Amino acid sequence: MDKNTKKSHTEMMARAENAVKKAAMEFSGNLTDRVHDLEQAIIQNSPQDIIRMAYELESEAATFGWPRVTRICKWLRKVFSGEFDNKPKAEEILKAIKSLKIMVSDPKKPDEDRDIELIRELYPILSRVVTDI
Amino acid sequence: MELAELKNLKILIVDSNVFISKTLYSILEAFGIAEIMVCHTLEEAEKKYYNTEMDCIFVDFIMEDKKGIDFIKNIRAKQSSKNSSEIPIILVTGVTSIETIIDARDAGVSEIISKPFSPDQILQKLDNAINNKRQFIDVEEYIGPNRRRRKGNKSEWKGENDRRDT
Repeated sequence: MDKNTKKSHTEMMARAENAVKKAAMEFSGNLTDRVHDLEQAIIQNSPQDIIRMAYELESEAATFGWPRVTRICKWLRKVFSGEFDNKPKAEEILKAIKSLKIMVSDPKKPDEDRDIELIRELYPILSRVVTDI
Repeated sequence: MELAELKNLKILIVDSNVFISKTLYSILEAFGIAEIMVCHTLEEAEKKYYNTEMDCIFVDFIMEDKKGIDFIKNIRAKQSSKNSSEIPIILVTGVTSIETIIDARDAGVSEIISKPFSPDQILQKLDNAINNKRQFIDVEEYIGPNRRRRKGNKSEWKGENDRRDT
């Protein structure tokens, strides 16, 4: 690759990285509302909506750097798709949602230590229901 | 992949997730790809496939109750007047279980990208799908790129007739 081609390639990748950063900011801005909508779908017991919303959040959170949100959403998607190993109790689902809400309570100031602790507390529930979570 | 080559590509993104498709669009746009089409439903995407020329399709797996896989199988089975059934198809998925990968491979995808994706990864898979095409297989049980990826790494054949490259 000659010098000019290399420069153009670097510029192209920088433009692409910027596009991802911009999308990540937009995602963070809507995160609290999205989790609220997911909670409402659970309250209204609308499985198809829950699966769709959880999958969308799972994918987006993974792409934009929210791995623990991804994990809980993956768990919810599996639970409502019937892909669980042990039937979840209602209070376990509520606890997962509660943790999720805390994680996204202020997306502009993510708190990694708090989120690690929340996942640690939640893990026995998550893994009891979906063993390979 | 040459930048000039990227410029001339026509890409279709099929994803019901507006946000992810918008992000993928922005990445491809940053690569200089001038013609990027987006469909949020499989019905829309099928119409597009039959009516518009394109070089590559990005499709999500879980769309409309996992019908993304049926969409891929239909393309592989039916050639359109605008596109060959051998068109590169890149599956973008957040579900990376073994079953998903096997389903995708058996449906005839060219490449798989798992979410989270990065621009680097997208460029590499796009390059692979377009410039590094595997031999196309069309037999009763399977239509799609050769599922064997390894080349030049074969063990010694002790039988009568080595047909592994045929």
